[in-house]
Amino acid sequence: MSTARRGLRFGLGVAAGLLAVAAGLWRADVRFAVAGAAAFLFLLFAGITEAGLRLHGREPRGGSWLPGRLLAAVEAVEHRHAEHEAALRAALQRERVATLEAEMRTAAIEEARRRAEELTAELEAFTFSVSHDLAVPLRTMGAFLDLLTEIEGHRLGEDGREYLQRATDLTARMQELVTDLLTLSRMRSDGDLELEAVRIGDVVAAVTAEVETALGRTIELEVVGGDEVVRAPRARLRAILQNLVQNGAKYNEHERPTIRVVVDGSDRSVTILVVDDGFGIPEEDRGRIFDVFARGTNHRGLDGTGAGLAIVRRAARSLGGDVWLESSGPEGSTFCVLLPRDTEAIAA
Amino acid sequence: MNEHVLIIDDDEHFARLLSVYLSRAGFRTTVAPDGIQGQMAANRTQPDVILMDYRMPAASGVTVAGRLRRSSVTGYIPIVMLTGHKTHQLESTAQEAGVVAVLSKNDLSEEQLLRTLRAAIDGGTGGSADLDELFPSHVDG
Repeated sequence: MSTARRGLRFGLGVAAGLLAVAAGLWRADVRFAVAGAAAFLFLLFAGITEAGLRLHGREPRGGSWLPGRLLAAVEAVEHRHAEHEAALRAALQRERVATLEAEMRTAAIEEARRRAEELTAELEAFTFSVSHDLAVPLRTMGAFLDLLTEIEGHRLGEDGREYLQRATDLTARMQELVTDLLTLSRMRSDGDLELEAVRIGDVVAAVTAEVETALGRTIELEVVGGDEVVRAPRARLRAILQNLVQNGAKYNEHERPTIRVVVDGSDRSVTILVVDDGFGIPEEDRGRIFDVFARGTNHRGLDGTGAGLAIVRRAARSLGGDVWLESSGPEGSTFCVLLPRDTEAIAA
Repeated sequence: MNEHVLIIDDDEHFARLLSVYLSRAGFRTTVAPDGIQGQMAANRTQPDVILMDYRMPAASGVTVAGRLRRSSVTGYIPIVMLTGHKTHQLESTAQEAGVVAVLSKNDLSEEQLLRTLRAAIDGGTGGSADLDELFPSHVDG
């Protein structure tokens, strides 16, 4: 049925109803008035319902029979309501699923993290155990090789002495590696950390002297701000500075390597710059230098375990600080160590 | 002087190394592979000084040291402890047990060993004895 005809019918119906009400009122006949009002309301309702249906883009069902259409309209509203409810339930369900999935992901991440920690701890325990069991035997072996060289070396030919020397050197190298591994793997678990007020200049001087002895070279050392003090386990600070000074002097072609240590600080932290005039670290290595056993591509045949910087970083972080390569070039490198003024011995 | 050193260590190779160093310096040595035999040897031979390993399978070095120090037969013999990993904690535990010095096995030099033993035997009163390695002695013993 066309809209115009519908509109006409609707209008006529309303008019009829109103007339009935008016007639009833005029005639003072309540029955008339009531009937008219009822008819009016009925038509109005049907019309409204129909308009309502139209609003939702639905075709009123039930053909042209008014009560049928009314019924259909009510059904349609109920249907619409049910659809809304279903949509709402579905949305709630999706939300519930999403929440559960999020929780599952979080739990999975937590589990993965826990597992990673567990594996790291296991690996460190293994490293520690093996290194620990290797350390003394290696030391003893080296000592017997030294005794052999001392006591019987003169009886060996040139070749014999060479072979013995190589065996001794290799043993020393293995010992160094094992010591580094032990240092590294102990850093996480070592509870033996006494905090003391450490004057940085003192530590720098001490480690430089050690490095000079170890490398058999003299180091031109310059210290700025050596009076700065941190509260830290002395041994860790030593490990940090010893490795940095040693690297600076070792990977260095000057006969007397120059190391400049600049210490600066605020209330809460201290920065230590270690500047060397070594031959620098190539660009492609810079991402890996702090990894254990990572050796650069241009160490120029110099021996090293590759664990030095790993130890420095582990030690720095265990004190709540950090270390990084500030800059590097063929003229030298600068490492920067940041430490809290008053370090707490927290696990690395 | 032919002083007698008793070595109590289950590490046969390390014990042998110690014996070599000590013989070269004129000491007599006996080696016991564990705490029980060590105690027996100490009672029997009354050495001038005991070198004790910290970590042994049956009874720990600290336990054995404690027993030796408490016994009237061996209580006067100075004990020097050797360990693969020297820590402050280990040193205090050892000191409480009556040990006079703790040496690290990992960077032990012949020279340091002899110096420490000499200081231990002399009770820290020898002229050239290096006092650094020894714990401060307790006045009341």
